[in-house]
Amino acid sequence: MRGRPDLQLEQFLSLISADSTESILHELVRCTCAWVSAGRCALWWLDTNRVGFRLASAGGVEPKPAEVDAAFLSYATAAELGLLTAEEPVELPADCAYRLHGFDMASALAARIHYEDRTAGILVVFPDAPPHSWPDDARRRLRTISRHGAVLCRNFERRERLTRLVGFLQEMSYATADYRLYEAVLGAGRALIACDRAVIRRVNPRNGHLDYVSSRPNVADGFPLGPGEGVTGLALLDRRTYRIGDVTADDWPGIYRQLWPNLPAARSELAVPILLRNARVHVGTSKATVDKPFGVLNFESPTVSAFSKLDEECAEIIAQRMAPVMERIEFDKKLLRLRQAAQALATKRDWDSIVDTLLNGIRESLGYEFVSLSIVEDSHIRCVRVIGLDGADRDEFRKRAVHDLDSEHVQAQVVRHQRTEVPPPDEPSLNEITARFRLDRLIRVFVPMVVHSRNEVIGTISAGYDRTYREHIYQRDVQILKVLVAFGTNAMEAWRRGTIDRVSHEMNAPLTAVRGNLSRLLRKRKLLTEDQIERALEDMETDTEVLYFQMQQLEYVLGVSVTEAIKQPLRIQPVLLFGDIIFKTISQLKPLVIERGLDPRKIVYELDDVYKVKRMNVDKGKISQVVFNLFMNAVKYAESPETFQIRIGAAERRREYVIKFCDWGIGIPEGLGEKIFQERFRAREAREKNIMGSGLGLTISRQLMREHGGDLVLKKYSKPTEFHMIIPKHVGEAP
Amino acid sequence: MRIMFIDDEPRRMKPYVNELEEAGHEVLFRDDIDSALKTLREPSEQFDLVVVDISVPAGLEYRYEDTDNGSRTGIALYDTIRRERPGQKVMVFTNVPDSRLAEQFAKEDGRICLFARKPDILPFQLVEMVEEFVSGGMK
Repeated sequence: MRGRPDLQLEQFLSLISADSTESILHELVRCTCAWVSAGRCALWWLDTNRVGFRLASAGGVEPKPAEVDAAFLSYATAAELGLLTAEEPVELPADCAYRLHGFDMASALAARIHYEDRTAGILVVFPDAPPHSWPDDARRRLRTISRHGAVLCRNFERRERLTRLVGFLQEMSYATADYRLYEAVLGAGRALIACDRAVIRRVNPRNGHLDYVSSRPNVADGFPLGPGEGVTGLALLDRRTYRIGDVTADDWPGIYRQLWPNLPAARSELAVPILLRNARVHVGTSKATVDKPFGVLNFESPTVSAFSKLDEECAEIIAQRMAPVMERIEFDKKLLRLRQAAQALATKRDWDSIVDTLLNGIRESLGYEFVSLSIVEDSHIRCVRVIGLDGADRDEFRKRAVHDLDSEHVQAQVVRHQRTEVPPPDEPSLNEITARFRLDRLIRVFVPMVVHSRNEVIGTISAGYDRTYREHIYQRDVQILKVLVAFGTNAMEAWRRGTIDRVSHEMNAPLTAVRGNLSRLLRKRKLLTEDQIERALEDMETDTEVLYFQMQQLEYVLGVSVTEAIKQPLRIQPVLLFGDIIFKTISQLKPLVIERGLDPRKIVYELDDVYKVKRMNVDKGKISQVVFNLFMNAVKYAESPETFQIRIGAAERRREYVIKFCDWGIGIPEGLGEKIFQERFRAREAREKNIMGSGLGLTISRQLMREHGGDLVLKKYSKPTEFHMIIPKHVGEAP
Repeated sequence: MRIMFIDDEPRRMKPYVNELEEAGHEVLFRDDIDSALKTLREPSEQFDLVVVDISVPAGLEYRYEDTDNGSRTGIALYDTIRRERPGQKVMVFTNVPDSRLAEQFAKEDGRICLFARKPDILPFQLVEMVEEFVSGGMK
């Protein structure tokens, strides 16, 4: 045949036009027989499910199916015969005793078909009878055929693999849920990369572990891998692909951890990190790009050197394509949670619910461990709510986290410049408090709460997570955070406007009544009876007291803090508590009590108590405010005319008097003892019963009592609700 | 003139009610939504004018409606009166300072709807306004 160029040309054309790997291998064997002038020729091809090479094609003699299986060439034998590494064809010795079923290897000439960094096949020509010596020409021809065969196989495989890959990538990009993406990826991986198992692990940002999420075949109890653990962990840690021919080799001692107990242990592993390239992050006040890790795509095979360079490229393309899809799905989930939080915010009507919903929304939408809200008050910014610190620490943090707006503290700068900032860990202004509360382990973002209609920053939101496993705050998360903060700011602003409306309404009502009565008295005083004039004057007195009471609340809502609003020095004067304050307040509120259908005779006290409290030096105006507030609450929160009752008692201690104020109204829910004294807190029961109020009265009252060196405490929640006003006999001394 | 006056603060509205009565008008005062609607739904009860406050407890009638804790109940009441008594003259008389309210009621037919803020009106001025409005002189 060697002398028949037309036949050789025909075989050559058949070879280059082969349209499958099988036909390439078949034509390759036919060409080899002709070109090397060998009686018999055979080709062994890598078997990815067994450690070695199976007989793929034979020329001269057609093997039977049973013989194909029996002619298996193990990886160890191939290595021993030097077939895996030799660049040139290897002539096996004439006394080689190795036989593969019908194939006697003595004096055989073998060449590897090597491409994509691995030996995929072994082409062998056999002499008619050993011993035999192969001429140089035969060696050269076998080398040429094996190398061109490798090129043909490589090109064909690449073309065919990439064509299929495009289809798989399209399918992956349509995935709208994680599990669908995993299915598409594992399906594509198994179809394109010859392996017997594939697994996807995902980064758990809370602890840096790689959590098992899906695999083919499925595993019931997939375990997580620690940071850097196994080839998989290493791929993520080093941000590079690992393609390992033999994980049991000395180079990788103990690295392999078996996931599938029912399958033979892997020898080859291909691990590709799933990274979103050039993800934008917020650093300081500007932006940067980093690779955002999502997980690792891993393939295993019990065969040594099972994965080729092409397999690696395919796996990398799949992983590269996975990352933006995972990012999109993750972002969609965050948007959904953002929408839910925004909807929840829109339904909140009181300060506490708005703040709770906002902070929890931030934590749940974006997975932050620490979230805090600080509010601008006059010349300071003060932390008012924290999630992520325990009881005592939380209170202490709130107490300490107060910063001058003119300072260099991050919060102050965020407010002054209306900018979002992710300060570096060594930011000097953060060190003092962050170290005390171990917040230096966090990476935090600070976002200003801007009321755009007034171009004013009313506070800041700070949110962060442990920097050990998440080094960066991603820009897309910042975008969502900003939107959520904007929703929260709008809700707070609506609350503020609503509260001003309510307080303003509450002030307009007595003002209108005073003006109406005054107008009538001026215009018609000669026509009115004494009794009518008396009642009009009484009404006016009541309404002016109410106005005075409302003023302090309005001052607070307009932006003056409770402390500032009442920080007027005490104007001490001798006062009889019952005679000068309590009785007067009862008298002033009488018209209001009657108006609400309540009986003023049900406001009772014991004469003994009246005489028990001697004349004392206090600020009459401020103590009157506290008494007025307690009476107003008792009237506003009365359950019904039948159950309405207010009882005032007194007790004398060595250094102080205790005024006991009991009412039989709707009561205060158990457990809210201290909360009712917090600014802006209003019990759910009060809100549900349509009772107007700003949630400031008790805060202001307690502050006023403490200014006197006394206190206001809740002693009993309900039936009766009992408050104690503690007043030092000598103001300025501790109770 | 027969007037129904709906407001949850009778004591504070006393100067206005007294002034109206002294001017010779009959005033039927209702301090809650439910009793007011009960009277309005009786065909025999006819009024030249219904004066409506905005911020009133929602009562049973509007307990499931979004009245913002009662601070917008009067709007729902106004809509009900418009629906059930289309030609009824209604005066919205409120302390609520929200300017959007005035804008909202300015869109209504001025022949049957009048909006006024309580702090702006003294009792004798209310009498003048009411008489002018009911007699058709006000737009």
